[in-house]
Amino acid sequence: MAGLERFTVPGALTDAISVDQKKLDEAWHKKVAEFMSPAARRSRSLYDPTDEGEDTPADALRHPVRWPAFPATLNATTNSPDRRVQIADASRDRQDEYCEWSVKRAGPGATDPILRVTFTTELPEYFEVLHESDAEAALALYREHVDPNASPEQIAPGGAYDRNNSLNRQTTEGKIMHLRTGPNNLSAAVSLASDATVLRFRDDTLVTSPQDLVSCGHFGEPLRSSDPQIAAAINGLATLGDKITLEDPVGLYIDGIRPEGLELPAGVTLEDCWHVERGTAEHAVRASFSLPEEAGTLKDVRVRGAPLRFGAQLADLVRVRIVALSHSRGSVDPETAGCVA
Amino acid sequence: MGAEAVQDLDCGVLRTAEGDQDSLVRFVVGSGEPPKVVSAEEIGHLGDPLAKGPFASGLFPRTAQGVLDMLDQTVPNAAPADSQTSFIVGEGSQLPADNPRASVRTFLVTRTRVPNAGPEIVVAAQTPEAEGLVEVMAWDDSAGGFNYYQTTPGQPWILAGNSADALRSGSAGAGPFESHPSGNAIMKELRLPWVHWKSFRAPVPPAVAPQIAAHPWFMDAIGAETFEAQIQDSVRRWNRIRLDRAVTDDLVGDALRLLQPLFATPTVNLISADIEWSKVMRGEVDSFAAPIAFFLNAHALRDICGLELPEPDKLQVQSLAYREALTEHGITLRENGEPLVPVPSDTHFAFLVPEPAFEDTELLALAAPKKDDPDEGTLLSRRLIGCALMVDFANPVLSERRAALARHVTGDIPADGFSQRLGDAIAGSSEAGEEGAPEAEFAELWNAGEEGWKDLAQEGIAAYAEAIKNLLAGPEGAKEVFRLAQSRREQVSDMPIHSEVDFLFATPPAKLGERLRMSPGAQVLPVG
Repeated sequence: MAGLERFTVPGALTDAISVDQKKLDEAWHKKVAEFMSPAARRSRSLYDPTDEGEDTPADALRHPVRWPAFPATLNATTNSPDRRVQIADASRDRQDEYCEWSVKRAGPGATDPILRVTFTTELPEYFEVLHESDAEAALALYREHVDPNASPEQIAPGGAYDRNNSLNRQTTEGKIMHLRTGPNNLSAAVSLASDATVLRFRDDTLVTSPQDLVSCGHFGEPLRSSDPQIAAAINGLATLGDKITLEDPVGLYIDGIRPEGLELPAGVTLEDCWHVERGTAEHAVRASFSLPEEAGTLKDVRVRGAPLRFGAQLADLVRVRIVALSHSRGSVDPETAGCVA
Repeated sequence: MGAEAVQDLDCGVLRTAEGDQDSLVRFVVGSGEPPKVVSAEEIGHLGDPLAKGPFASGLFPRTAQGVLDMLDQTVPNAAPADSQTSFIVGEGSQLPADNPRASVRTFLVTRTRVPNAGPEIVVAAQTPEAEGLVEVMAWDDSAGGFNYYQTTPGQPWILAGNSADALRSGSAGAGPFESHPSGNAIMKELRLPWVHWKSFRAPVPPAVAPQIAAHPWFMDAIGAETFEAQIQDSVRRWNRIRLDRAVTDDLVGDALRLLQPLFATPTVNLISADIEWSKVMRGEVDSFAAPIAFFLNAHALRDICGLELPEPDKLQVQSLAYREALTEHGITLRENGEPLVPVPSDTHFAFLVPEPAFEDTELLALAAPKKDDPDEGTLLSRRLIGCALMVDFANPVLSERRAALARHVTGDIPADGFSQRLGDAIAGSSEAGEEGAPEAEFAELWNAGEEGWKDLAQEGIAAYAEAIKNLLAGPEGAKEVFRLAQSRREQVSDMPIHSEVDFLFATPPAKLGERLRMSPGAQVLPVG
């Protein structure tokens, strides 16, 4: 494989309306390069695949890292399965595993039957680039997926796109456009990948376990599912002297929904209920769970023996993915350091 | 092998079976039947994918990958390749890569066919493509349950029994049913954080198994969180069949065996705190929440009976005192008694303890009314389950007091009014009038009536939660619960599953030998 010419838009999306798609593609490439270039420069192991001479061979090893969309930090807060999922549904701020969701119910009550749960891993950076390149396209997406009456002022008060705008904060009504919660962004993921290539030693002992590594390197919350696992996976490759990069299109993807523990009404299949709405089957960035055409509520669906009452029950089954590539084992003398004080 | 060897009930005896490599030998240890070659006609009567495909075609694969390849060649729809998932288990996978014991113990590869039913086939092997021990569990559509197979180099394939054999006198507890006592597929570390398994909590670094790290089974291995769900589906599948078969002519047959999960501890799962030991060791956290299942039967009391459980803030073990307890007793990971890492050390995730096995509590759940569907599954009432499990409830496993209640289960019992009859029998027994007898404890709850028992139970749990909090807040709290945990670990280490599989509990140089229990007032006391 030759070097990568440019970073591809997540999920190979083609959203441009008022400008040429190539202009949007180029703007996205520049945005990713803003993260990737400095991340690669400060790491011996991580490389920018668009850099001159940085070819990724065809036989590079592919390392998918997957984790549940449900925020693992909540597991430590309660021994009640009901409270656990209620808390996760109640605020997007708690949905911190690079996946957020919103629940549309048949009525206004918090316990009314669910019609649809929509999950997204779409990057806030992408929408910022999209709005800057083609504001009409950004508004069109909001009108298609969130609110047909969305106005320019709602998503970009004063003209500047607001990733935390009023149409993208909710956990109810199924209204969600992209990730908005603090650590859920591409910049953070790329930075983590770079930082994790440093071999950390404490008292002459290599730190390898995920929670320990995150604590030692100050990478964030050790009880999340995503970051400790991403860090440990990258770190494990750096330990072997691999050259490492992130697979293009660089992004966080919805890997799918696991079928285990999911009981559907008679005659209904998982394929009937799981709809990739944006991206491709392999690179999905938005997906929803509902009966076909929302032809009824999900009250007869059971998850792990319990009736489906909260979107977070499905978040337990949804998997999120980022993919690292590695090659040239033993060719890199990785950087070493102690724990961050 | 000679017929006399059939008396050896250990699973290892299966490896002594002899015969043509390209054959299938039926050898159900403990059944009294000597090993016997399974004829082509008899293979035709087996209803699992391995028999219907490769074996029926005269193919006898020698490797784990060979099993899957030959399935695809012969019966691709019986266990579709696109449903395949691989998992990694190994105590050593969570040791530093430079530790000589660092390794992957087993790959588990599953394939599913029926939604919500768990795997059609589970293949377990240390390596995909090298000859070695290959174990297969394959679901038999005709007979119901799994057929248990294995082979080793130079051996024929052994059909070691069906799930139903786990429940028959003779073969119960023998051969593969040492570690699968109810005939179910099992995952001992079933819940977060799945100590010993690759999961989102603990990836397996390639440096631990460099020789296999580029293989798809390693590269594409998914987390234990998914295997947990597969096993739960599978357990429900077999347990439903167990329950259906338990009632014939309106009588509950072999009720004593069926009710074992209610009173006794047929087997255990393992659960730990959701925190790496290293963080406790370094004092990065002042305290950590011990798993709720250490203190009471969380799954049954909460999910079946609808009782509220103590929250993690009541279960905080002080890190410093816990560390001191491990130091005092010389606790670390050992192999053949020799430390693998310096003292003190706990398992990768701290505070690994036995909990009631999912296969047992789920049997109770299936036999009980569902929360939202009171008409389904009424063999056991919530009241009976709750009243029984609340006897000595502070000891969710290995309770002799609760086990004593089984003496009131005699013969076949009419299915109609089963729970009422049994509850009345215990509460009305002469022992129920004896102060301190477990029957008296049961009767106090049972006699409070359909709703009253629950209020009493909830009060007891609430008081217990406060007592635990007070215990753990004191200077000796962590040391007390460590001693209780160690007592339970030592008792379950004598169970067959533990003798077969080295779980790498963190252990002292020699067993402490204490037999301890928890009181409802959260005091750790000697048994007896």
